Amino acid sequence: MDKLIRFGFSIDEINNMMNSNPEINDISDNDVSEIINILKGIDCSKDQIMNILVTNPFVLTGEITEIKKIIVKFLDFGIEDLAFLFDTNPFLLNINYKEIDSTIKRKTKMGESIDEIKDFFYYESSQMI
Amino acid sequence: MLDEYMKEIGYSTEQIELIEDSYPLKSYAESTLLYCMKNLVNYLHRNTFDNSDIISITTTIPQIISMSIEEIKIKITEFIDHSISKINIYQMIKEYPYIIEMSIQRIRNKYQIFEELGFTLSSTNNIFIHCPSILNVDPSSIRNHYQFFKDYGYKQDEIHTIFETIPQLFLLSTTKIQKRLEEYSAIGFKKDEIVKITYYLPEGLIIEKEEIMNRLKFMGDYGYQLNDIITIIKSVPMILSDYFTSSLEEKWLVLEEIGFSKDDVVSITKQNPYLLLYSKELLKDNYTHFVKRGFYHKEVLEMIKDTPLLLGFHKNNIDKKLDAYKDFGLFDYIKNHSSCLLYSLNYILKRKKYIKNNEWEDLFLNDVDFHKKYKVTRKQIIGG
Repeated sequence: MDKLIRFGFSIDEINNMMNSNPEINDISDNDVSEIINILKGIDCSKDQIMNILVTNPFVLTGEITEIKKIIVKFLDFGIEDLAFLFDTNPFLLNINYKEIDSTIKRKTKMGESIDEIKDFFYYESSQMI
Repeated sequence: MLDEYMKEIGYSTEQIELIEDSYPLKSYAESTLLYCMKNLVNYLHRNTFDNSDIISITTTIPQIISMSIEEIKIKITEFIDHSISKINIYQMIKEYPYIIEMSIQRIRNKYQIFEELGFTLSSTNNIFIHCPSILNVDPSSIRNHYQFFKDYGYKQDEIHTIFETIPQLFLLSTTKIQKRLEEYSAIGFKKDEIVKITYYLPEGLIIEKEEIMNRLKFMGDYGYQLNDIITIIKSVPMILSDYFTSSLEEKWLVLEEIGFSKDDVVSITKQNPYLLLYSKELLKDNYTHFVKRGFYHKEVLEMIKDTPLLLGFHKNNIDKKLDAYKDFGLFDYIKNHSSCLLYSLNYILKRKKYIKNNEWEDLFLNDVDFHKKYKVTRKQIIGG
């Protein structure tokens, strides 16, 4: 947990994260670094990273390959502001990446434009939890 | 003399007859049998076995009485060499005495198979300690079971976790396991959801569907419909683990203490099932924080009913947003549009230079409407 403390999380915050996700007890500092680096790689600020991980501590024990698939799916669709996206709804990092495609297909069928679908992801994605 | 000795230990007449009639002991002279018996009993007594253990072991495999103590020690040493403690080995023998009969080669082969399948020594030992009869399972059956899960879609670490948690799965036929998986499918779960669910609840692979649904009945008793329960499990299958199911009631209670009705609790946790994974202290703390920031109790309830995600958000994150939006006189607006507090602050504040006539509520427009009104795209706003 050194990495989390050095990043700036308080003991209380770490305890809360562990309470919600006991698997955090088993992860290494390398695992934590990998996740933080992925979030930094999509331009998340420190504040955004802290919000994402405190709100959704399951990101820390998520499959890296699955998280990357989610990121690529959104990028492919044209969602470029991933920091905003995941800071607004940290739980998007837990969804099955195939849900992104099925949401896009469904909304396209309903006649929504690409920009409207992007708006859904940016502003209303809490419906996807 | 043998009979008297055995009766002293606690053997019944039938048990004595069983042992005396078994092979190869029936060919032994009584004095030889008595000698072997005493040796074995003394050895086992010195190593945590009580009389009932001894009776159980010797009536299960009477031929152990004909084994020399050295032979028994060699088997035990083999397990010690694989890092199992003596206490655990003795427990394994008590539970499954047949391992004493196994050849060293057979024991080593078992370890090799598990190593082949990617299990660590520690995981393998956990499996053997908790289900020693696996040591007698045919190697091809072990490989088949592993492959069965792989073919279904489980990843290696998921397979390892499942077998380490429920090693008895190796003893269940893959047909039966398949049947369980089909039952989940019949409820409405897709393959990848079933993998997730059974990863968090491996015992779900060995108990009947009705029993799983009974376990979730208490959610139904609280007020969730079956569809709600299925939706929640799909999002947060870890809720099926004992760690969380045992604490659900206290979370419902704390949400009710905060002021939500039962219907509200069902509604907000349906919309954000992760609320059921936060500690009750965190739920209360996050609610209290909104009150400390100047919202009335009823306002906070309405905000969370409207935007359940808020109850899990980082307090510092909420604080920064409230501090920023207060400067724009948006405090009252937020009470009725609480989803604004979700939007990432960095980007929202970048919009302020485009806003005219102090129409600060426009900060929260979606990109399409913001562009319609202010003729500027997200890309342009981010680019500055």
